[in-house]
Amino acid sequence: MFARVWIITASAWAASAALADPPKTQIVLNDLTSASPNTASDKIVWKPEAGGLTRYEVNIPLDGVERALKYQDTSELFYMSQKKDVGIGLTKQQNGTFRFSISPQSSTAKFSKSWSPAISYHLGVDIESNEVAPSLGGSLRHVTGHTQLDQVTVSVSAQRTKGAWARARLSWDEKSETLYRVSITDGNLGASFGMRWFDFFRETDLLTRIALDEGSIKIGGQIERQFGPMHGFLGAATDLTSDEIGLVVGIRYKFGDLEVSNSKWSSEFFSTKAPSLSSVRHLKLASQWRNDIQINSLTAGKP
Amino acid sequence: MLSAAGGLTENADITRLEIIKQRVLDGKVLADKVSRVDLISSDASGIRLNDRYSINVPSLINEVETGIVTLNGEVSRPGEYIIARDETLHDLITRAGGLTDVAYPLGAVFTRESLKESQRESNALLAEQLEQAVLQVAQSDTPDAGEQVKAVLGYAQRLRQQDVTGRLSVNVSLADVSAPVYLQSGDVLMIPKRPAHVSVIGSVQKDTVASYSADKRLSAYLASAGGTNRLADIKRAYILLPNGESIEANEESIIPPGAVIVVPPKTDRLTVLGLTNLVSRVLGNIATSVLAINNVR
Repeated sequence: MFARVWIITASAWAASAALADPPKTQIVLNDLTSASPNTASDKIVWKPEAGGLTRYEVNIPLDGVERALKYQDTSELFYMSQKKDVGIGLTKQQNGTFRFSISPQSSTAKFSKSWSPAISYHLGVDIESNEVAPSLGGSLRHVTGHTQLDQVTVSVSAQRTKGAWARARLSWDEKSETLYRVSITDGNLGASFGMRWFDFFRETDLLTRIALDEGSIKIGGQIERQFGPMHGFLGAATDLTSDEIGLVVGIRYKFGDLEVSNSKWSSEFFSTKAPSLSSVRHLKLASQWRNDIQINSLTAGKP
Repeated sequence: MLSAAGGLTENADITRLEIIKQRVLDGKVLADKVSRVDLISSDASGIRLNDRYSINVPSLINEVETGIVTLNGEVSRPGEYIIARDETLHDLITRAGGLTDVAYPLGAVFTRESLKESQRESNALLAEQLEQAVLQVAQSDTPDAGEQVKAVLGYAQRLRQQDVTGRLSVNVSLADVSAPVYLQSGDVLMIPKRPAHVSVIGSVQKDTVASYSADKRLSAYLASAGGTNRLADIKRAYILLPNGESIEANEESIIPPGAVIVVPPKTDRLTVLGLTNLVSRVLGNIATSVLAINNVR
C-alpha cells in the first residue's frame, strides 16, 4: 500500500516537473526577443541542445531572418548562418524523463531529472518477483573535448546496489561511436564493449555489443531508427554460455523510454541508459534546425 | 638633375629619395653608398653630386586605389568600384548600398581571376587521370565494368568541356572577423535573384531542374528526375549548395533553392583500381560548374 501511494505521489510530482518548462533552444523568428540572451547587433546566437548536450554555436544573421520571414522559408538562413564547433557542453535538462522497462522477471519505472548540467538524480521503483522496492540514484557526466562523454551512475534499492561507468566516444568522421561500460551489481563485476554505426542502412543505426557479465559472454545487435519525433529500437542477443536468446523492443519519445524485453539480462544488455553522442553530430544540426527554428506564419510578411 | 628628368610626378614620394653613389671595380658598377633624402626638410639645391650617382624617386604607397572590383546583380548600386588595400568584400557591399530585396546571398558567386587558371589546369589533369585509369580497366578482366567505364568516360569528357569560374565560396550576409575576405583587383561579385529551382544530376533517369518548394525533401527531388538509375550510389549522394560548398545528402538534409543534388554512379567494380575517389572528384567539379552557371544565368 505504501509503495503504491509512493509511486502515485512521485509520478504526479515528476509529471508536473517534466511538463513545466518548454525547451529554451526554440526560436520563433517573428519574435526575436525569444532568442538567446546572446543576441548581438547583427546576429542571433542559437545553441542547439539535445539530451542535455550541446556542441555547436550557430550565429544567425538578422538580415537573413528578414528574408526568411518574407519567403516563409528558413533553408537559406540555415546555410547563411555561421556554425562554430565549440566542443561538447553539458546543459541542465529542463524536463525530466521517464523510463519504463518491462520484462517477465523484473520491471522498473524511473523518473530522472537534472540537478545541474553534470549531475542528475533518479527515483522510481524496481519490481521483481512481485516485490516492489523504491530505488534512488544519481549520475555524474563529464565531457572531454569534441568527442568523448563519460557517465558514472549509482543506483540503490532494497533489492540491489548498482554502480556503472560508461563512456561514449565519437569517431572522427562521425559515422560511428564506441561504447564502453564497466558495472558492478551487488559485488559482481561486468564489462561490455559496443559500436554504434550511424545511418548503417538509410537512416537506421546499428548497435552491436559484446558483454562479459556474471561469468557469461553475451553478444548481440540492435537496430535503431527515428520515426518523426519518436525513436524506435529492436534488438536481439544471445548468451553464449546458455544459448539463451534475449529480445528487446522499445520506443523513446521526448518524455522518456518504454522498453519491453523477454528477460532481465537482455534489458540490461541493451541498456538505453548508456550515454550516446549521436545528437551532437554535425549531421543532426539540420533536423534540430527544423525542430527549433520556427516561423509564425500568421504574422510573417508575404513576398 | 630632377629638373633635367622632367620634374617630379604627383605620385613621387619626396620624403624618401635615394641617392646612390656608384663606383667601378673590376669592370663592374657597384653601389658604394646609399643616402636617403627628405626633400621637405632639406634643400635639394644644396646637394652637389660629383662623380657617378643614380637617383631613385619612389612612388607614394597607394593605400586608397589598389584596383577595381565589379559588383553585379542584386546590389543596390552595381558597377565598378575602386578598392582600397584593406577593403573587404563586406565593406564594399556596404559601400554599394547593400543588397536588394530580391537578392539571394546564398547564391553569391565571387570569382577571382587568379583562381580560374588553376581550376582549368586541375580539371584537365583530373580528366586525364580518369581517362588513363579507365583505359586500364577496359583492358582488365574486371567483370561487369564496361557499363561503369562508359559512364565514367562520359563524365571525363564533360569535365573537359565545362567552363571554369574561379569561384571562391563566401558568406556575404555575415562577416567573419577572423577570416576577412580582402579584395583583389579584378574580383567580380554577382548576387543573383532568389532562384525557384533545384537541379538533380548524375545517376538519375534524367538530369533535371526541378521546381523548388520549402517542404520538399531529397526523395521528392529525386522523383522529379524520374528516380535514380540502376548505376546510382545513393549512399554517396550529396548536395552542392548555391554557395559552392557541399554536404552529405539524406532525407533530413535541408535543400535550399538553387542547390544541385549529385547522385554519383556506383564504382564498386572500379574500386580495386582506385577509381572511386577520382570519379567523385570529377563529378564534384562538374556539379560546381553547373551550380555557378545556373546562379549567374
